[in-house]
Amino acid sequence: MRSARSMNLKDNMYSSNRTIAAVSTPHGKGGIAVIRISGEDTMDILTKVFRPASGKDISSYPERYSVYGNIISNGKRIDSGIAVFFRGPGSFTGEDTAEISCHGGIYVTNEVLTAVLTAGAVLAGPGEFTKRAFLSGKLSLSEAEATGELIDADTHDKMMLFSSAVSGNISSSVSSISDELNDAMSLLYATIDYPEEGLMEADRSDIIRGIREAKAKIDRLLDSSVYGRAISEGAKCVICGKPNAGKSTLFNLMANENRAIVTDIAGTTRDVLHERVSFAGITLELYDTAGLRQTDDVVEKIGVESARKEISSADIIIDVIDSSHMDKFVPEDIEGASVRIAMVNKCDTSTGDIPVPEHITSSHDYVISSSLINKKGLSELEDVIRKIYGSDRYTVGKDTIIWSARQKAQLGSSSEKLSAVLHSLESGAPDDVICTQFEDAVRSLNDTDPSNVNEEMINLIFSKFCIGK
Amino acid sequence: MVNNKFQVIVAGAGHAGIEAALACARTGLKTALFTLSLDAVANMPCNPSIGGTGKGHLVFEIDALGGEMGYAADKATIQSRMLNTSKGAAVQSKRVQADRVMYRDIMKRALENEPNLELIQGEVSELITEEYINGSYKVTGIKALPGGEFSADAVVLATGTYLHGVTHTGEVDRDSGPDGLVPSKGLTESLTSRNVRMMRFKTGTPPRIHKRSIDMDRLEVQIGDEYIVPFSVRTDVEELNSRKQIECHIAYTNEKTHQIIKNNIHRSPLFSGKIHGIGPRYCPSIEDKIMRFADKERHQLFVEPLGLGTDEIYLQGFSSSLPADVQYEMLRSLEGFEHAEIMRYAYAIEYDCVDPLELQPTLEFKNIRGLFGAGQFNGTSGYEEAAAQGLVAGINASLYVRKEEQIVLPRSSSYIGTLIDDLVTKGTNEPYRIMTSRSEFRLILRQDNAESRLLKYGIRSGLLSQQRIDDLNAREKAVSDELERLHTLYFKPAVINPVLEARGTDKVVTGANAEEVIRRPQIRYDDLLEIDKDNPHLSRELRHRVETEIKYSGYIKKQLDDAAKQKKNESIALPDDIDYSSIKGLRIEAAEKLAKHRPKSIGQASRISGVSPADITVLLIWLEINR
Repeated sequence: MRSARSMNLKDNMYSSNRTIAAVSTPHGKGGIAVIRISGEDTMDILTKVFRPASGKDISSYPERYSVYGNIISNGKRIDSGIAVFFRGPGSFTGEDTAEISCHGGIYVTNEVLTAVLTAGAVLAGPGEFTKRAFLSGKLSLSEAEATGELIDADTHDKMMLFSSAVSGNISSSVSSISDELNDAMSLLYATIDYPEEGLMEADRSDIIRGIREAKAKIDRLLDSSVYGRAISEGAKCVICGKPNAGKSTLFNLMANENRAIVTDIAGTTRDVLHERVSFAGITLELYDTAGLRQTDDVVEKIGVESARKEISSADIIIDVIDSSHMDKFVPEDIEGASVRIAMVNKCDTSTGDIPVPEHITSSHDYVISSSLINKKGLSELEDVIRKIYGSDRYTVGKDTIIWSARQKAQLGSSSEKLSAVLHSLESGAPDDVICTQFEDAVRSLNDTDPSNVNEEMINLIFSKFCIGK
Repeated sequence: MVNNKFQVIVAGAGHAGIEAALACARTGLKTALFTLSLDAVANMPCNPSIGGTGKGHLVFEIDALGGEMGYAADKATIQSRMLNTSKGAAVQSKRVQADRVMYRDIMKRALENEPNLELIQGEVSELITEEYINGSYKVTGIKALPGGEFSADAVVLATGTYLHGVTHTGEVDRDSGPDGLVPSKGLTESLTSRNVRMMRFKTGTPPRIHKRSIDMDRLEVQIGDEYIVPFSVRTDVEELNSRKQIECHIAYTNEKTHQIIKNNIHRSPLFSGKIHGIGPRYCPSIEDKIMRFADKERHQLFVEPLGLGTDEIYLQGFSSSLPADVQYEMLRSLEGFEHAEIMRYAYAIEYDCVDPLELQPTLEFKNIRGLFGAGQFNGTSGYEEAAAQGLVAGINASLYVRKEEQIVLPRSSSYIGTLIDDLVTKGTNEPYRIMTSRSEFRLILRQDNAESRLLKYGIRSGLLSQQRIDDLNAREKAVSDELERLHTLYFKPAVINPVLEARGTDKVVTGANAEEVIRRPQIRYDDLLEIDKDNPHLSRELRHRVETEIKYSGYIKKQLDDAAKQKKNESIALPDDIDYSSIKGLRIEAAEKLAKHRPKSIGQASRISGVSPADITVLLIWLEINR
């Protein structure tokens, strides 16, 4: 009887043996489209579907040579274009690879791909080119993960984040911390294995210091994940509050354009306005909600419902509160929101500082006085969000920033295990126990960017990538 | 030739060869043991010391599998120390100073007393083989000088540092084995002509000095332990502890010594490039230490007698290949050694050994059936490492001849298993020494439980008597009964608090569980004997074992889980005849490494450097499809 796992392995084998092909450029009309082929039959297939204009055989050209010619299907020319052959292991996937550039029409592209498949290739699965690059040792795991993300990057910060990771900054951070940890423990190991060499006994306080310093670096990487996630996934920020408190003004200021309709009449905003904005160095999915009040107006009712739905899954909630109605503020009973910020607005209408009542300060993580109409309070809000998401502490492209839940879980586990090592060191546990715990912690750390992962992990990671890369 | 048929022939009567020959003879096989000199059986050409970190573990394990080393070492002990007592139960290692001549005589006698064993002085100079499948060979015998041809079903090679041995003392180099004994030749050619890769390693030894020329009073004294834990369960503990132990001493190098070495470094064949063999990093020559660690003000040296019947003194840590005149000069710069008389000069020795990647985890050659390798011949260093392999090679040679399944010791079972797995899986580019840090299972691989963790293999070895197995089972039961009793034993505060207070740990207000109490770092099992009227009066060794099991139980559990996980991978076998180059998806580098190493299991494959887990995945898939 075959288990589900073994079936899975078999599926894997099916394609991992075969030469794969896919259209690597986006689906749709374009000047050109690129069909990529990878696997050991690449040259065979290429010879069948591509005839150089020179009349020579494509295989007679040196590798990486751009060759102009005709693309052939069933003995008939279907298009003309350029073919380039890369010999493994000097290719992206590490296997023999070819790229055929043809005209970018949907129909033409499909014809060319069909010709390639007919000539012996199988259609590539999701992320399969990257998977092969990883399997052949051309990419480390974090580099492979970042490759998929880089393709999807739709902001400058995302591009910077993932291109740093593709170039290996996570791998090098992890290995340098790992070296540091080993360095801290080396004397302890030496004295265990060479008790008679007259080595000075390892000073535990030195070891503790060394491990703490390395652990602090792991913890910093862990901390960076908030920022990394905010860049890669964005954070959902919902602006709520009583009608006419200034929600739309804030929304417009943050979105930097006059999007929501701003009037003095309560209940003007009737829908949840949604905008993806770049604010305080991160991507915010910004929602301006309709006034959350009981209403008989049908349209407005829909707005209220919609607002409640958005709020329930928000990362940040900004309560905009009219400074003259602070006593009436009642916090919405919301689950799941991680951070609440109070914007006490319209501080321009009275003089001096307005004391904020306790029921507001205690129900919010941050309280900001603002006069949104005069753009006052916006930079304070920016500071608060920078602090929450780490954009005040990390610079994308310069610092190593992690973003994936997997990386975070590995580093978190390593950090926890190092805490246990520190505890053992401090409480006087024997050296053999400490070494054993230590090795476990280092293993978790190294698994953040492993050269070794199990097959379930490989499948999970690579199924996330889009076809064609 | 009248008597030229044997079932097993062993080449070399050093620590590996002895264990191999005894294992075969004791399992009923007609065995011949060839040695270049009957006077150099079980020779300790370096320090007459047995045990040390990791090595002590090996000796306990050898005893557990039915080997001889532990028993002989106990008999020849003139000083014993337990190292690392403050560093945790798992890394505690016993080291003894042995009387070199006594050890040799005990071992020689053990060999002579073995009815199935013939001990013969002569050199094994050639292998006789026949063609086997796929271009491989099968051993059928050997040629010896003198003696001629001998037939055998299995042959164990344990040539130590004798094979094409060359010694170096400064500018003087000679074709020689250790201790000025004759070297052996021939076998290298026998192996390379059958496509076996050989390597050339180097090791060295310090000078021996006449005791009367050392001013011992000016040196630090090092005495043995008050109580000696025996290596072997066969040893009479009382007799062992009734012996008077000798004193050893500690000396130090100084600035002057270092200067002499630096001034003469060009005369060291190690530095002049004359020695090509690769030496062990962990056992460097004194010139190596001075040149590599120029900042270190002094290096520690151990001053240890070679035995009770001689005045020769060994100077551990002073190994060198410098010329004789420089040896005098640097030696006499040491405090207490101003008038030192050298009896044997220090020398470096180069020798041929096999690339252990040529071997299977059973220590049988991959390419020559029935041929086994053991000891320094396999690229290791140390008497204990040698004996451990000799025993495994012997047990497996015997199983091979008797057509039974051979034994592979898993890494989680022992340091012996770890040592062999490291050798045959990763290979080595220097003489390999065992270390506790080589084991990922160190918490479960302790000296105190060697017998228990190897019981299964001890029984299979056929070297344990039924009486011994019964005794062992009785000891196991005593330990588990006691652990169970302590689990449910509670002390009233009035009873336990005085003990806790005396040991400086917190008092209790309600009843205290015995196990919980023992788990406290300050409390020893023995502290409770006084108030624990029902205690079963276990032996000192078993009390230690019970205490360790309790104190380490939390950590041990995780290691046991890891061991079980590893076992799963070890049980996925890789066929011998896989054509790795034909497996698609396997990287070229990995395919080459796998073809070279020919791992027996997925677990072993995963430990080969250059084989990534991605390659392992490919292998798993391939296995799945070709099942």
